[in-house]
Amino acid sequence: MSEAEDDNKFSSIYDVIMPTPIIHQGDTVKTFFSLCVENQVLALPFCTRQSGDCDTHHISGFVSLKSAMGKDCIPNYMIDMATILHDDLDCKEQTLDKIKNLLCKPVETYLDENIFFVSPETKMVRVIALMEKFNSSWLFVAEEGQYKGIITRQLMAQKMIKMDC
Amino acid sequence: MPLIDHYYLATFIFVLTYLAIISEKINRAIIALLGASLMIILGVLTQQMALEGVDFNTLGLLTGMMVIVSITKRSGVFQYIAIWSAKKVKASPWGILLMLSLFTAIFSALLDNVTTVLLIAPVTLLITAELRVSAFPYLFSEILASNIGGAATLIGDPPNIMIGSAVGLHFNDFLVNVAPAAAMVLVVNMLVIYLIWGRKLEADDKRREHIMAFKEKNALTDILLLKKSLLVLTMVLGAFTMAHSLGLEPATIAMSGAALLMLLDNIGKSSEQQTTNVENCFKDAEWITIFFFVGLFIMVHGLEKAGVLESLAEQVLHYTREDVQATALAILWISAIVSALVDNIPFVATMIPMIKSMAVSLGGAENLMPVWWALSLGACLGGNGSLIGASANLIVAGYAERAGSPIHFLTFMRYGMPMMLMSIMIAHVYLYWRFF
Repeated sequence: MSEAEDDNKFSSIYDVIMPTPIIHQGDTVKTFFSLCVENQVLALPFCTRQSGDCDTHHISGFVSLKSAMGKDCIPNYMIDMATILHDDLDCKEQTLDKIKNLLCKPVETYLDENIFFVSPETKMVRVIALMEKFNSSWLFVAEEGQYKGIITRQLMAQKMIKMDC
Repeated sequence: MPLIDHYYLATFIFVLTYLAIISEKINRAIIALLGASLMIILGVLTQQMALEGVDFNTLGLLTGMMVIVSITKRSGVFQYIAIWSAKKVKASPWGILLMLSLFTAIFSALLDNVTTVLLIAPVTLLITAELRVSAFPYLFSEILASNIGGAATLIGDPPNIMIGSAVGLHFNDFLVNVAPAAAMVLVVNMLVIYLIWGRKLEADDKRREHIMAFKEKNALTDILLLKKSLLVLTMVLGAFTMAHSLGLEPATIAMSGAALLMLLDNIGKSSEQQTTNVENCFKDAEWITIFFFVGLFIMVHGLEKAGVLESLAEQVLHYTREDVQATALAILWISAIVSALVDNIPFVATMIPMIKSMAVSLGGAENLMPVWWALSLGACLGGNGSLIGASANLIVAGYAERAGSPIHFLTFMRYGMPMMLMSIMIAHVYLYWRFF
């Protein structure tokens, strides 16, 4: 293999794609959180089918931990007053209620339909550009209508550190 | 096209637009701009005439103050004062309610009331959750205080800004003629709130200690910005009170203050940082309100040019027998009731040229002064009648709902409407005693 081919191979993301499950219509936020924890990811694609395999035509968006946790996890006033909160605060009850309520909600409540796929051959530079453009820490990868997994900033860094300074 | 056609056409466009605004199905700025466009496209106004109808003094004052508030609030000063005031009364539930309401009234009089309630609502919800008391009396009282405080000054509420600009009234004119009525209304309202809720509010010592443990200084996120903001705010308020002798219009003062504060906020920063800062600052301005005003001014100018407002004024004068006292008091009650049910901004925008056209029949512009004060008090205090009566009410209700403490329309009206009518009765007595 020539040096140019080697560079080309190195600069694409095919070898750092992390396969992940897909969440389905009707799953709860608790299931989504569990899958994120198990797979160490911040977001998962969402399938409009209730179970089984899912091609990209049925993936209508994604759900992220940020959107699901965000402002639904704690009361809005606590976020606005974050700088003056102290540890003796008693209004944790409200927060716990909110969290319990959140876990039982259907995951589609937090669906973001602006999903964008890249192919496994996509170059790192394009992936970085797209992450910056969408202010995101991940991108979903698909090939020939099949979901392949996720590429994250951490995985990109993992690939980058193999290079010399 | 003959004048008679313009008369009906302008009325039709205005009524249609008004109904669309009330329905709240489409954003009010879009509706007002569409209505204004129709006034021009259908020939009621030329573009030049439409521009003449836009009151740039009102727009300048609004925008300037929005920019000043947008920069000042970043310093955290509002939360600081709110927590400080709660601690000053040793976290007593009634004391906090009173302090937060007074704080809301004062800041609403000097800044805009929507921003004030938006900053005070989080503090209130945090404190009431800690004290385990219902948030409703607090939020209700703050809503009332914001509309009452807003009524007190030229810059407190958009109706006053519009009236002041259209009639050439100064900050001190409102301070002398309207603020005393607003102060009386506030005192009586707080007494009633005490009798309904205040005397029953209780919290144990442990919960009060939690409030006392708040470190208000942590709310201050940028001390240097705070100093700059307070300097400019003091200068702006000082200039407002001396506007007459300085020969300056309120818009000039507000815009100059905004420009100075932006300069102080950006001096020494990189070009990129300045661009981001200024962009964020302009983003915070309520462009929906500003464009809503532009559309409204044009539509009302269309009505004026078509002779609709003049004939409406004649009708009012016919019923009040061209008596200033009867006209002023009628305007006070009508504007209060209308403002409780619909947005007071389009109402006041319509009333201003209509009242102006009454000048000849009522013996000159000087005789109209009590009518202007009646319109100001009616439109601002009327907002307390229902949850949809003023923007500040809706802002607090929306925030409280998201926090899990919803304010229901009928619950608010059950207390708000009688208290608003009581406030208008006080204003009625005040106007009668002061001007007739």
